[in-house]
Amino acid sequence: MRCRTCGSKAVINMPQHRLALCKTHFLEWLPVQTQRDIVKYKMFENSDRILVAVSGGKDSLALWDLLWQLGYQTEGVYINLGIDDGSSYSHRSGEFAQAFAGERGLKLITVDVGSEYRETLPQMAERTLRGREKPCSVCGLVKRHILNRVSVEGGYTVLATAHNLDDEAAILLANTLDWSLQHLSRSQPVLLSAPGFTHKVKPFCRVYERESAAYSFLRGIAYMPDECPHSTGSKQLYFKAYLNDWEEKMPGTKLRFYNNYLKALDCGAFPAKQQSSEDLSEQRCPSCGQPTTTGGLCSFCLLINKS
Amino acid sequence: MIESTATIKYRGKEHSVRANLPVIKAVKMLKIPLNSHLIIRNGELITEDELILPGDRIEMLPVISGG
Repeated sequence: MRCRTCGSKAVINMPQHRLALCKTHFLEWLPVQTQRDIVKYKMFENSDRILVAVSGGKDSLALWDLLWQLGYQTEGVYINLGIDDGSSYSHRSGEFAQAFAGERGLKLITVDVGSEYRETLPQMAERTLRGREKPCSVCGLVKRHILNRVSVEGGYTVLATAHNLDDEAAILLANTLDWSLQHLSRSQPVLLSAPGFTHKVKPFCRVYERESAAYSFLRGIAYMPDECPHSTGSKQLYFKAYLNDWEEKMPGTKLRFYNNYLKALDCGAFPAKQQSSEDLSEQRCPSCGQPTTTGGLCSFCLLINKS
Repeated sequence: MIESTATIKYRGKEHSVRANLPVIKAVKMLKIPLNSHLIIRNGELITEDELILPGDRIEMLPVISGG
């Protein structure tokens, strides 16, 4: 297989784009595609201060590297969840994030959940019914709260996460099966800022997971190779496997699914884009001050205060 | 003697495969989902149409993560 641009030996074939590229041209192509979406979806500009949420995995480090290469002002935040029983998962993930930042002279903020909230994520999950059944849902709640807090306190104008196309398509599939209209509206590339919320963006929302992995590999980025021990048997992995099976038979399925979702969103198929944020801006949690719809403590403060 | 086999590492296990086959054929025989892996040969990323050479050590690098 030959590179479409220069005719030399290709290193990656992307049937979804009917495109094969060599290392040099793939490493040029992905930043161009990402930059195009940054502009298309009005994610941010050169003047923005961007906080990149990094886990130490391939996607988040690829995103930070790519935004850094594009010349954006970026700093990173790593949340040490304390998932260390036997696996040292969080500790090792943090080391990859720190090494990445150190090699490039970039600033990395580390939030240690165990020290700041007197409990690690596995301890919080074990203590609550929600967490015992679905540790990933407690993890999501904790990460969303901390990322918003750090970005607001630090005065960042943008919070970037490395959700890729496979993530978004899997979430969309799950929410479509549930007809969860409120959740369906949240898979958009940008969640605009509202009082108490930072402008959240997903620059990789149309990048296949395989493409971001190839970018990390070809750029020589050292990343955490292991999966979170809590993700075994997760619903998201189940949906991703299905989508990849369909993708193999019908290349471009995931991209069409997401692109057509964006078109449906523009046609008003789901609740108004800003509705949930506007509702939230009216009420504040008396404990942490973050926006909430509960009328009292926010979900995160309820979680950490529950004995 | 010329070695006529190669190995493909998938999920921590090494599988012996016949050389001179395109990688995609061997991968399909082993029922490895191609679009959730990168193909690494001797430390280099390659496409699925490449011929497996005798003695090659190929690794299927998983790309899917989630929780």
